[in-house]
Amino acid sequence: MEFARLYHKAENSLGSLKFAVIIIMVFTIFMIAGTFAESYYGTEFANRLIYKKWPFMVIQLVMFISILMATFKRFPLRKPFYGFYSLHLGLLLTFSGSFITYYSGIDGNVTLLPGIPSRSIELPKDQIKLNFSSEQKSFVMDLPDVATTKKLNIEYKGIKFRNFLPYSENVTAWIPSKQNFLSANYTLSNAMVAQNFTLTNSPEAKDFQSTLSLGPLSIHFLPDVLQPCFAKETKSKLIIWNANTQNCFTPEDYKIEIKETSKGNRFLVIPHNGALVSFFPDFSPWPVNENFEIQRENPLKIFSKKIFESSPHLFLFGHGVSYFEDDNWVSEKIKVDESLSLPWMGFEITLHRAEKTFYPILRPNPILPIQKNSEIIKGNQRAVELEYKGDTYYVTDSKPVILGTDNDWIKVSLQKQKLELPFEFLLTNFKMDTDPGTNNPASYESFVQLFSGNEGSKNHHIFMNNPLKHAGFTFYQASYFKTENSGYGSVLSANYDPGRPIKYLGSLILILGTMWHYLIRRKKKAAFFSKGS
Amino acid sequence: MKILVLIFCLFSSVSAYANPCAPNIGKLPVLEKGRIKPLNVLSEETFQFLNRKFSIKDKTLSQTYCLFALKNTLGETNLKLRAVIENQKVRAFLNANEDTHYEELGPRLKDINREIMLQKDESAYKRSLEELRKKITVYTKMVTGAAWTIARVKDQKVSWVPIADFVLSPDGRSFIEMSNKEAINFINTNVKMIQEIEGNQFRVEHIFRNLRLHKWSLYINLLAFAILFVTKRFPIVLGLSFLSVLAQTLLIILRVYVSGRAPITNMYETVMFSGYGALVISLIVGHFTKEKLYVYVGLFYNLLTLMMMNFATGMLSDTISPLVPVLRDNFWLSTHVTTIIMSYGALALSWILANYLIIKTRFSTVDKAKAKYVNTLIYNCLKFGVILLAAGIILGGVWADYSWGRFWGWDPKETWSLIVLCIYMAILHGKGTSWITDNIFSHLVSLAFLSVMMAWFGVNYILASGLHSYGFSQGGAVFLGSFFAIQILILVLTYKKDAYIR
Repeated sequence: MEFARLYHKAENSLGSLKFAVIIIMVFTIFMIAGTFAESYYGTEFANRLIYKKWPFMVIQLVMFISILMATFKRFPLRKPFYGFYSLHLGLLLTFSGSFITYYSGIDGNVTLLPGIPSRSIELPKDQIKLNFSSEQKSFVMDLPDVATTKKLNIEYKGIKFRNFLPYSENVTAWIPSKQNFLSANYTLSNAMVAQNFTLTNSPEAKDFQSTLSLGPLSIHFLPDVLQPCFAKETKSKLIIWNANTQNCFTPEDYKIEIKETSKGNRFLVIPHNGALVSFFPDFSPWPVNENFEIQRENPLKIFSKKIFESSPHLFLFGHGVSYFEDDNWVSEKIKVDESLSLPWMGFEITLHRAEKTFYPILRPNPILPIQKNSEIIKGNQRAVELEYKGDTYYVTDSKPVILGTDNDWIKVSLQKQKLELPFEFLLTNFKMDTDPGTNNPASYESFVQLFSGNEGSKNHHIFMNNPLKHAGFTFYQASYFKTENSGYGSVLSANYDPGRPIKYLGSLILILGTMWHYLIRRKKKAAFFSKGS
Repeated sequence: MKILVLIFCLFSSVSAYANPCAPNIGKLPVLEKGRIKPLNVLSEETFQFLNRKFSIKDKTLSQTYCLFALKNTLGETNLKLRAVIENQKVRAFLNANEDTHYEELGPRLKDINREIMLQKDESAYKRSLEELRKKITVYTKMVTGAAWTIARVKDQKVSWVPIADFVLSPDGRSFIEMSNKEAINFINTNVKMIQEIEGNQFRVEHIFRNLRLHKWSLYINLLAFAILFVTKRFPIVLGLSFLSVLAQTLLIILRVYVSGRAPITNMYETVMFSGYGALVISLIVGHFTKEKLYVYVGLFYNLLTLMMMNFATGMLSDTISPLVPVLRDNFWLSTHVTTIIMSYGALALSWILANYLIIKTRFSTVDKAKAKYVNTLIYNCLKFGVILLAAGIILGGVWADYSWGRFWGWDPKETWSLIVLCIYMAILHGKGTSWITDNIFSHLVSLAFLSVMMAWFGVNYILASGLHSYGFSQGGAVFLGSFFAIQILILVLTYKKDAYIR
């Protein structure tokens, strides 16, 4: 009794026209918001923010119930409502089919490199994967489909996973250092270009290096104690550097004789800690032993300025700058936020920061992604912040983290979920036609070989509007990319959709029902507008 | 914008000289942007972009283009084209004035490039600089003879040679020295030869371009409305409507023949097709229901679309260019897009009827019966509109599923078409409740059409541009903004306790 009463109430409220108007408008408002989010931040972000999130799902469920109630309300079957029934049945079926697709469908990509077989589908889901050096096993953890930073608070074998950053951008952070190495940040600019870069000598700063090439210009970052020797005008143009004592000198300082071999190559012998160290400065900065083997362990190094005179080289020492110009080595000092003109193409260099007690690292910073011309141009990096033995690490989808334990290691990587197929693809050929006289692709086509256990191998031709159907999956030509050796790789989108027949049936009934409802039932029209006088 | 007059010197010397730029040169086939087209199309598109006011007396645009392309070879160093720079800041930056021509700007490309690079944020200034850079490049390609390719035949195979290279060959040197009369023969022979190998589409396009059917259709429609207002003679209006349909049918047939695909692949074509379809359907429906109002409304909507095609050339480009691979499926393209466009046409008719009713109710008198009658007409349009739209959305889903395995992907274009359907469904559901009375029904219908405009134009001109650019067509955003403003203004002005019903 009670249930029947409640049901009637639900039927009358949820199944009413007014409720239909409300729920349709709410659904519409969410969609409008979704399209704007899509245009600013990209399709995936909009999916994660709106379309595939529970509020939107709930709205669709409520719509489903409302349609169902509206249909039940018009039971028992009456002829004038046949169009109405089929139209709403079509809608219910389409909803159901879409739900089945959402729940159990598969939608991913197969990336094919020429000549390399592939059998895995890359799915949109992000995962953390742990590999242990001591075990064969690996551990996999799914990450949530979120649009903004999400607290994880998961601990596994001493690794605390703190935050998941679905969209991030690397920023340089400066970390206090126990060692005493120089790191600095500069901008090199002229009227045409400006480039900011950070260089370091610190072994802790793994994200940065001590050299950089910008077109024809090479930049070298050296300890600041070396600069006074650069400033010295000597005939040999050699600098000797002792890594242990952190000081430098020139052969002329100690009257070390520079000899020449019979072939005219310079060499010199330096007494050091009671031993003799030999250098061929024009070939190697390291000393050689009597068998001419390079001695990298030796703290002494030699540096020939001559090598750097033929092409543009810029030497930076934190607050010091040296370069070769007009047959002269120029050494200058630079203060923070000061600029210095360089002799090449109107370039000038600006120092922003020079540190010895801090070292730089790249740290992912959460941002909103930015879409331009349907491509994500900013924020296209996933990252997970984790803590291990009191230190903070960031693993990104482009860079795994190796954590050292007492005598083995754990590799933490962030990757896409993969689905292994029971068959294998081999890209045998990729063809791209262009519009005559242009580089615009007119069509792209993949020729693949499909190996499946019992059927053997078969050749297929996949191109736009001509997918390959196999074992319930459909493979479509999605895109392509250039490989390193100027060949082409192909990306197929792989799709398994168990809801497809229901959606199609629903759509068909929906259209026929709509026509029936609006075009054949003529009586309703008379009552639709109030009668005129 | 100031009227920019031509800079043109010593015209007499041009014609006196040995001159291969013959009057029929517009016929010559050209391979440009992946398509074979006649030179007159390339010329018109080029000058449309560079300086649409430019012309040389007694010369066609194709001849003018020819003179520019052969400028250096023919020694026509006085031939100059004035640059169109509308942005004041860009003018100031370049020290440009009324008489600055592209020739002077060429060497300043470097400065412009640098200035663009220095602009960190998107701005009207940066966009104008980029536009100018594009124009200078197009101009340079024209005068260096790089853009115009000429067809050479060897062993029944056509190769396309830039005119700059052609004039260095023996054939090219003799072409340069031809008189107008000899050149006419040369051009006709070349056209005939290429036509045999590559088909006659470019010949048809040449004629099609010169016919200017969109202009004629516009004149016919304007004449029809003039007659309607002056004499109120329906038979004449009907006759002119048929004539307009005839002209537009020819326009569409020729365009389909030239492009080899359904005439619904870009904004220009969808506007053209929806106007055409709406007029045809309203003539048919008007005939069977014996209702003149359908014809007037159809003709009025057709007039609006023709005006857009004729005057909104910055937003709607009539250039025929090759399609992206995924759209190269005539079956799906025709069924899906046609259905959607027809539904937009039907909804547009409901929009015009609704505005007619609300304006008439506010500023004139409408009796209950008439209001009810017009509302019924609006309802009929809505019915067809929603059926076609629902079918079109589903066809789009099936095509997407067939082409890349996704029935629905929340892509902005498809989502907005669903939004349109939902908004109209909300109105149709609401009409059955006490919320939407006969009084506000037409107001809501006229407002709902804004969603169609958003789905049709807004997705491309506002959403597609994203957050950090001004979009590829600023004209589109302005057009849409004005449209929204005018519709809302109409609703505000007509907001009054309505004269009928209560």
